[in-house]
Amino acid sequence: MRHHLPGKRTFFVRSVFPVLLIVVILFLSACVPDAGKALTVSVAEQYGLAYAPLQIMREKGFLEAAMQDREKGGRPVTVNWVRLANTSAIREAMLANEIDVAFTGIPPFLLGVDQGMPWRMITGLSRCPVDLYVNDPSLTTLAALVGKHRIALPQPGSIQHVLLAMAAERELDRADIFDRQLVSMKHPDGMQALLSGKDITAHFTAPPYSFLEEDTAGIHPLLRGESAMGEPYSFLVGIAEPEFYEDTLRLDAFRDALERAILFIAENPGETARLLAESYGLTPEETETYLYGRDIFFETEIRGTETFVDFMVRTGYLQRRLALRELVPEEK
Amino acid sequence: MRRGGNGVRAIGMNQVRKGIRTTGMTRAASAAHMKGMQLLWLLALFAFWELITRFGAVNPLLLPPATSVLLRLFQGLLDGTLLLQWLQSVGLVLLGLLLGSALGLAMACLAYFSPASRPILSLFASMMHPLPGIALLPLILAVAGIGVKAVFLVMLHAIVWSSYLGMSAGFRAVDPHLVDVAVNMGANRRQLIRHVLVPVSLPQTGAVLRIGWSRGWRALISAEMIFSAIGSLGGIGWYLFERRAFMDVTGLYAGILLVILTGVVMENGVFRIWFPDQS
Repeated sequence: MRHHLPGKRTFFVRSVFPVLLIVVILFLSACVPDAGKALTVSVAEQYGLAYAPLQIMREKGFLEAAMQDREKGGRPVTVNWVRLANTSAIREAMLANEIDVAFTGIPPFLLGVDQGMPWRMITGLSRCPVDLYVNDPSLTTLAALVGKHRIALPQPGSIQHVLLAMAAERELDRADIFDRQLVSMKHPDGMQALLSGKDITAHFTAPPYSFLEEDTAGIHPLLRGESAMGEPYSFLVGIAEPEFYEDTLRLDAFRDALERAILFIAENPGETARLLAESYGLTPEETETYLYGRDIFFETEIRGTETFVDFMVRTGYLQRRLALRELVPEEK
Repeated sequence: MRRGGNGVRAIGMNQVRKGIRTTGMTRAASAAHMKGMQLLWLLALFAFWELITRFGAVNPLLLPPATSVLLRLFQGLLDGTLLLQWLQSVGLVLLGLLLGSALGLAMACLAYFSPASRPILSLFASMMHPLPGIALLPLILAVAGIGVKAVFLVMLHAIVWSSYLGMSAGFRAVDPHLVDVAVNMGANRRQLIRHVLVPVSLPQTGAVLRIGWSRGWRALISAEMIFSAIGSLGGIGWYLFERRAFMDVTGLYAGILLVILTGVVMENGVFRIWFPDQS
């Protein structure tokens, strides 16, 4: 076997040079140029009944209109919609400057703040039933669920997880009693698993899946989100990074557009259902019943923050008590 | 050290001098030199990581400083949970490697001795080998349910086909004269496998195990990230998933670091010691 220690030049060419090249590329890619002079908002696009005002805002062009109204300098207005799966992805997209505004539950938002994310809540979006369903008729109490049963929910740290922990603390004196029984599943997968009745006994979910499960024979709710929480709470809130919430023009335009979309939903049930039905895979009639007949409320008020903070500090999900001024932008 | 990679490209006095000096080095010394250089580069990488995060070139919310990640890794291991999760994953992958190689060996023997089985086996291998186990999820869930069994099946799938293909190739490469000699001396199939095929193709087996390990380890972690903790700890993949869900980036990178370190230890420790010819 022949060995050659690389000479000084070859050492540079083979070892140092590629590393330098990578460093240079990394630095260059970090300097993404600003999007010209256009006034832009990038919004995380998410689907579900509870996100209805966002889709109306998009379909009707309310956000573009609101920004155009406020923009006196004649800058062109652009709105981007970016599809993202969950709050972890939202966090990463915000850090990468891909999105300005997104919607999520209060608990994951709080976890982010606790971990140093500079985002804040700029608005509420919706309240809706977030309930725990079981497929075993003999199960009637939370205590009966302890042990072997598997509980599906979107992911650890989600609003469903925190509501379950709240109920567990109240009824069973131990917030984390179910943590070893959790299975992380997306809503549709969780529903499939619950209906098939094989591995999953319980599913903590949100509309429309909670409605579909509610309407299925043999499946009954074991716990309602609101009774776990003890008070009404926002299911979704809008969160934004500093660059956005400190920019009064864009922030106010966004809030206006959202109010307008919520008003539109209240006033035009037929058109709302028609606009949204396809993306939910439901008929316009079903969409209308779900949106208007089953306790989904759209409102910009943020509810339940303090209760979530109290609980999450007490049980160690948060390392410190977050003050309200760290959670919402200063009103100017 | 790779042969050929450092081959003579341009011959100058400098290279010749170096050449003479290095050919004088013993094998052990050159291995030690390699280790030393690797360690040096590793330290340089850590220093680079620490610097870019400390001086604001990279947002620490995206990539935390190396020292805090290392600290978190030690805390996690001392605190116990991460250590247990890691042990569960490593245990599973070693078990999978053992079982996967055994199945691969069995199939390779079958293909070697029974020409009739070859078409079906090679058809299956070429169908299944490129297919990620995760893609088979609905099927695996139907068979094994949600839990460690499903994780194990996904991983086994990643190991078994490459192990069959590798061992088969190893058997085919065995000098037919050796086989003829053994048969003429009255060796039966079992003796043929035990004393000729397996020992002669041993260098190939090292490569097979190494590929199986890396494929299995990757598949295991992705599967654990999907299946989560049920009645068990959930493994290192679940740790990664959970840390990301809780937006704990330092913990996330500590987990990633542990996955990488496990790979380095397996590669440089275990495989290089067991199968030194393969390096």
